Amino acid sequence: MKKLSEISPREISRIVLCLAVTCFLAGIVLGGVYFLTEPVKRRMTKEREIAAVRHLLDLKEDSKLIEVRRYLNEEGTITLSYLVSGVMKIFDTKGNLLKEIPASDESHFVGRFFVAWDAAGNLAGYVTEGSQSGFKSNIRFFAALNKDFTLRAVEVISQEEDPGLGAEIIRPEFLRQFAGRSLEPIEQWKVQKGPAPQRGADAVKIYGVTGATISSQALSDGVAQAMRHLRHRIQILFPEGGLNHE
Amino acid sequence: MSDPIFLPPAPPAKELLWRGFFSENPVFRLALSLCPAVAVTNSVRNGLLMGLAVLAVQILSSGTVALFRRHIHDKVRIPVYTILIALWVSVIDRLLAVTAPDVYAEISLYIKLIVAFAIIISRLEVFASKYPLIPSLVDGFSMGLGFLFALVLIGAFRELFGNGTLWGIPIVEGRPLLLLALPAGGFFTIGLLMAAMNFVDVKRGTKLMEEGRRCV
Repeated sequence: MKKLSEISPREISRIVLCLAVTCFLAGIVLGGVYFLTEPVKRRMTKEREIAAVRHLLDLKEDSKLIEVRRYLNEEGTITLSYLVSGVMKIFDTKGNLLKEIPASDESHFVGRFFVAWDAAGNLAGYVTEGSQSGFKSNIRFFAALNKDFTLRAVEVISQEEDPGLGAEIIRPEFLRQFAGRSLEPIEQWKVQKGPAPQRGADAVKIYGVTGATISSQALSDGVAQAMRHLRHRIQILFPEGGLNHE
Repeated sequence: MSDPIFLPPAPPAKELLWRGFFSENPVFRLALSLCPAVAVTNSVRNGLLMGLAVLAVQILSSGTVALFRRHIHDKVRIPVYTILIALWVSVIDRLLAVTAPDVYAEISLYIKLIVAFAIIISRLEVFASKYPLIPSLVDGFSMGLGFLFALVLIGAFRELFGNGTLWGIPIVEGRPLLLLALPAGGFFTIGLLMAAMNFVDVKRGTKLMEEGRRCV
């Protein structure tokens, strides 16, 4: 058997050093690029999201939007906090308001939704951000609801499902099936296989993307859950009629 | 790691540019990275954008390897090249996401695949690891430009005959050859263009001269 050539310890340490220095310098460069581009990326993302929210609710530039951010504190007593217009409202798990304080610590962020009014100051609707595990990736979406909590539109913000299969859930042909639905009946959220009928379509059912049932069902489940949670949160945050006018 | 002892001098810039663009074109001559060449060339626009990204990564990778070639250990040169290519792909990916988000949304998946392109790592191994910075940059530029040229040409051919449009603008009514818009058609297109380039070569007499030289 041929004897393998031996590498001296000095050689091994040179190899390790070479790789370590390469990785370290690559990390410095990459970290620097991310550090410099992060503020720009955040600003662009925020602008794009605001534009998407307005588009989903069919609102113009002069409409008013407020973002309500949610926080979950699991240290000690579990509390749910909502940051609304600079005020942190803290609730217990049963939905009872514990206290209101000026916005302070914004750690433990878990989600958000938007409340929108038109230019005349009338409540236009809500847009909630949700996410659900798909076939390969997390599917993040915006669900726009009318003020009576019926679904207006759904838009997928980000996903990395298979191109040509799960990724097809972003198509308008699939997403427009969600429009006009209310939370009940629960059975409607079960995605059906098979081609959607062209005419006289059964409006109750949601037909999934062929070959992507898991991704389709994930989005359907995510939207239903987002609707359920939003209704509850609006009810505890804003008493009846408290949101109708700006 | 020092430069190899019997290393011929770097060819002049003009010859390097000609090699990358025509005589050693990565797609039509070296037949490297054919799968991504087919995947992104369903339109001129996608081919151009992808080609520009590859050009940038090639130049940056060749320059980095040439700059540090004496310090890269021979036994781990391939992992080091891969790390450097991945670094520049990540940088380009990030810059594209920030400066051109609409473009990025269309080609982001393909940008990440540049790491696996054979053309880039082969130029690092064949040229940039042996020659100084300036010739390596020129070589990287010429190979990247040759790849860009190939993608744009394939994209134009496929979009025009497969879709009847060029850069989204309708040119021909209907879809003359729908097959070309499909992946199989992409390979047909590359084959046809390779044949066309060989034809040009023969007409110029280059091939015959090379064969004559080999016989001597």
